[in-house]
Amino acid sequence: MDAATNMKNSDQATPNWDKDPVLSVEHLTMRFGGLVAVGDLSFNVGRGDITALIGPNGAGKTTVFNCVTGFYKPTEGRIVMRHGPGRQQEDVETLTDSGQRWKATGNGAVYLLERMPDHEISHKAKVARTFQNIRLFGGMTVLENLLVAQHNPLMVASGFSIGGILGLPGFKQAQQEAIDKAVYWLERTHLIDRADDPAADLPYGAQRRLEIARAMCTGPQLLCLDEPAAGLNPRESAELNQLLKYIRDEHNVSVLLIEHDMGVVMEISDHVIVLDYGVKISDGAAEFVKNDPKVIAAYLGVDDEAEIDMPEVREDLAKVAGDEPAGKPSGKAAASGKASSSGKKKTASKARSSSAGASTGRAAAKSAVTKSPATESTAAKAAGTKAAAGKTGGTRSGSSKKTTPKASASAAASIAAKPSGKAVAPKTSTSRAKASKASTGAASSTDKSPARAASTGRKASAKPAAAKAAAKPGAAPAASEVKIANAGDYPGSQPHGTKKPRAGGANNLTRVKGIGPASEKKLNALGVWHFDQVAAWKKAEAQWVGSYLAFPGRIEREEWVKQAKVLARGGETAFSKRVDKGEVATSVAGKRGAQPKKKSAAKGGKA
Amino acid sequence: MAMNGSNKVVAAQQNDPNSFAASIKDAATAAFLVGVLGFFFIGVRTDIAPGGLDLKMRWGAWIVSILVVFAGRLLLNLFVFKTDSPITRKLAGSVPGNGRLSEVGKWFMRALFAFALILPFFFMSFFPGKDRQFIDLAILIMTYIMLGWGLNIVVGLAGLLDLGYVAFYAVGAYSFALLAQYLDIGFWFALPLAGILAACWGIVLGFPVLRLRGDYLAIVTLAFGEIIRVVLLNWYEFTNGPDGISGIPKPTFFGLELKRGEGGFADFFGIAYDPIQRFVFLYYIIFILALITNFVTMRLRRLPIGRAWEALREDEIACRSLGINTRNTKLTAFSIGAMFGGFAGSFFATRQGFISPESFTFLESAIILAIVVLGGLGSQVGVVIASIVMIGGIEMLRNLGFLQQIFGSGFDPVQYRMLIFGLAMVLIMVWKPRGLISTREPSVALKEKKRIGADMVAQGEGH
Repeated sequence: MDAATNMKNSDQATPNWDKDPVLSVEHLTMRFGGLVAVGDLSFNVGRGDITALIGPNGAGKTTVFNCVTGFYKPTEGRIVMRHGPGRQQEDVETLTDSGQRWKATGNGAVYLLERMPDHEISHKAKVARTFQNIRLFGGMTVLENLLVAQHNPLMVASGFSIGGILGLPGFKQAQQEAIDKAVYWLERTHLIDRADDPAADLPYGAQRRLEIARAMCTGPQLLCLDEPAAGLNPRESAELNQLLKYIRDEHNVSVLLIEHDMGVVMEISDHVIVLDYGVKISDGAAEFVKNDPKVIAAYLGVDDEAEIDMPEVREDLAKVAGDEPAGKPSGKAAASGKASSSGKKKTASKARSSSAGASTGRAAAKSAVTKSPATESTAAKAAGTKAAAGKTGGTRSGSSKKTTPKASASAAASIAAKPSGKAVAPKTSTSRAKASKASTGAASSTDKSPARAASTGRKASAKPAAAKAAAKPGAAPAASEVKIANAGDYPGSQPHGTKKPRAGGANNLTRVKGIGPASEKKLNALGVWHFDQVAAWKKAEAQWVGSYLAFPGRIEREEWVKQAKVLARGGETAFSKRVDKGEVATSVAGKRGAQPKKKSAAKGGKA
Repeated sequence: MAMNGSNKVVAAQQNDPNSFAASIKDAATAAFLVGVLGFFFIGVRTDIAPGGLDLKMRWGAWIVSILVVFAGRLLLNLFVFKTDSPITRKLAGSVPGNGRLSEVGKWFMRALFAFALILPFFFMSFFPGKDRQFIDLAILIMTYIMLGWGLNIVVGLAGLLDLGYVAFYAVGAYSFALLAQYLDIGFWFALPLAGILAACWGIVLGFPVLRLRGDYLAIVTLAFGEIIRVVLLNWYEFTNGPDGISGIPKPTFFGLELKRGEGGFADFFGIAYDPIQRFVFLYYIIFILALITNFVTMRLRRLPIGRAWEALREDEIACRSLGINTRNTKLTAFSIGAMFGGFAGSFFATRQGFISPESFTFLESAIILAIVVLGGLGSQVGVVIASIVMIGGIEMLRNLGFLQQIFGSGFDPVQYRMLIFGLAMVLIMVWKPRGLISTREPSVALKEKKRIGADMVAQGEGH
């Protein structure tokens, strides 16, 4: 179960997609060599819902699609398709343990898509898909395209061709029925007049519709559409909306779609999932997602100068900015408001997988090294809590190597320990033991933890910041003056922050490429006011902040620290020059605060 | 000023490119060029004269060539190049197009079928002296038609380029020859066995090439064809190696051998024995085998498996997304294609009475593939026409004795037949790059069957 959505809707009824999911993607990870295209992604697709998967280019949406439809074999994770109502959780677990691909249940069947070859996913699990670049059989007529989609029932009717060659009865009738079905969908998609034309002859919009009609002819329970509205004009988009609603309402087919056209997404979607860099950043009803600041930031790219330079994005941004208090960091009130709202959200997503892709083992080791004995005992306690949480809060078990038992830690704990041990072990019990072992290691040993982290993959480590937060200020070297309630939710360690900027005022952080006004506000809320503070970040801090700002990995990519070092010395980057000239819409022109003069980048802000 | 002038001319031509004046001007330019060039090539001739060479002017020939070029260029300009309604378009229209082909083609096919049905008797009554030669050629052509149809399933429908098709031909031939040699099995019993064995080899080949695409697929199939031949060549104890297998039994007519004397076919029916009877019989065997091949292929095209083959040729990924098991679909294409190759091979063995690995070289594969490509991928009629043109054409070029009267008695046309043939192939492929019959007929239609142009039909892997 996805805790983010669960918590969010805790005051309402459980949403349909958690109550009655037709498809569950659980801890899906897809790696291509060193590139993590999708990292520990979990979501549900509700039966009878239109679910939209959105995100910027390269967010991993199509990779998710390819995993669901069997074109890629996921590196890790479980993908469950359910025929018949309800979660059927026991059946899913039995099936996972059995090593089978699918299993008939009392009220339907459950399928493990990651174990099935692509053609079986369409044939047996009834998942149909379309492609981002249209893939029709161009040299075959429209009608033939739709008959190819009904290949499997027709093969049976033709006695696997033997009866068909001999001209046995039965096939003719089956073919007529197949043609009737094709005609039905041709009428629905307004293609009936072109039935005998080659598919390559159709205009673009008609080809898109034909691909949907062809997918529907396979008789799916879940229809996956990869950018169905791409290249359509507004009228065609509206028709597409009608068609998708019709498919959902009249045929009870659940729809999962990737779409960039927000008009389409917001109008028809019951449920929206937002991905960024292979990680889920928001999940909920369309209204909720629309107003999620993280989505606005990451999806519309508020802080990403490169995206904002596009006029249409700037336009969208202007709309968004209208809803938000714009402009300069207006001191503590706004900043703390931001922090608390963000914090709330993070608390809500307690049991969610850690979003950062990089290993946290290093940070764990580091915090363990620097810990005083007193801290160590606290940490041990934290580990104990964790282990307990692991035992009680396990949401799923199974023998699959790909599954990751997770525990939801209590939200109240300021020791925000999160056992997100990754199960490489076949049995849950083992993996649980491993998780707790890992966290114990993090707390008591200085070298065991990184080794463990390395051997078990990405996440088999405790959250060191937990211990840090619990430790007294001063025990750990650079404890921040600013307390973030759920600091332990993020991998890495919270950077040092001061409650107030130094005399002379804060630096204009927006002169760093990648930091926009919204991020600057958040950074200020963390007590980060000056370039030298940013410049002092180590990997753990950068990771923590990246995760906190919901930009995992971005700080490293955009080299904030490197830029800040230059700016802290009083130097200029190409970007900061542009900012100063007022060429960057998302940054605030002008130097603010005491401009650092040849100041060495010391560790932490020396206020 | 000169530039101005030329600009004006260009402008005038652009304004009215069809004008008579422009045509004249163009023709005059061409004539002028001929005049300049032709002065040396045509107008002046050197003769050997006492004491050296003698220049002789041929003003007549020079002027005639200029006039011919002028008139020819002018006519072309007026009716083809510089007109809005070139007559070549009308000519193009008279060539069977998409719509008309069905009508013309249908009657052509019927006529061809009727002729094939009575072919032996036609030759026996009209070419009594050469009937044996012609019927033998017809048998050869029919064998290639059958092979072409078999390969058409793999290459034309499923779009898998197979350069080693002759391997299945060899498997069929050797199956029958070895079964006859070791187990004394007759043709009719060995025929289905040969087909089944070839189909099995089709699957054996199919498995390793399932994952291959494009050129790699072609190369592996080529290698497979060679492997079979090399094994047949070197497994001396079993296959008799390069010496081949002789004494392969002839087919019987319901147990009656077509031989002279007691108990033979002629004796049983009380007719006079004639060696031509055996050829007629062989012709009808291969005719029926080819018809079966065609019938099955046409049926399969209208069945889901045939549509899946064509879909596979169009887009394999889309096939998989629609629940088609592409592995099985490819394997059926390979095995059914191989099966017909095996039938044809078995027939080849019984017709020849002797087989050796020499008959199954890569050249055979290339000829069969050329028939399929020349005929048009996926077209059954195209294969027939291409077989007649290629196999019949090569044979016919042997009978070019009349050319000796033109080029002198030292000219041997047989030596030039491959050259002529190659040129003809090049010309045909330039004229019809996608084969003689390049349109595709849909397997099913709601209202009317419209033929689909070759530009839309994908060619599949390895082309």
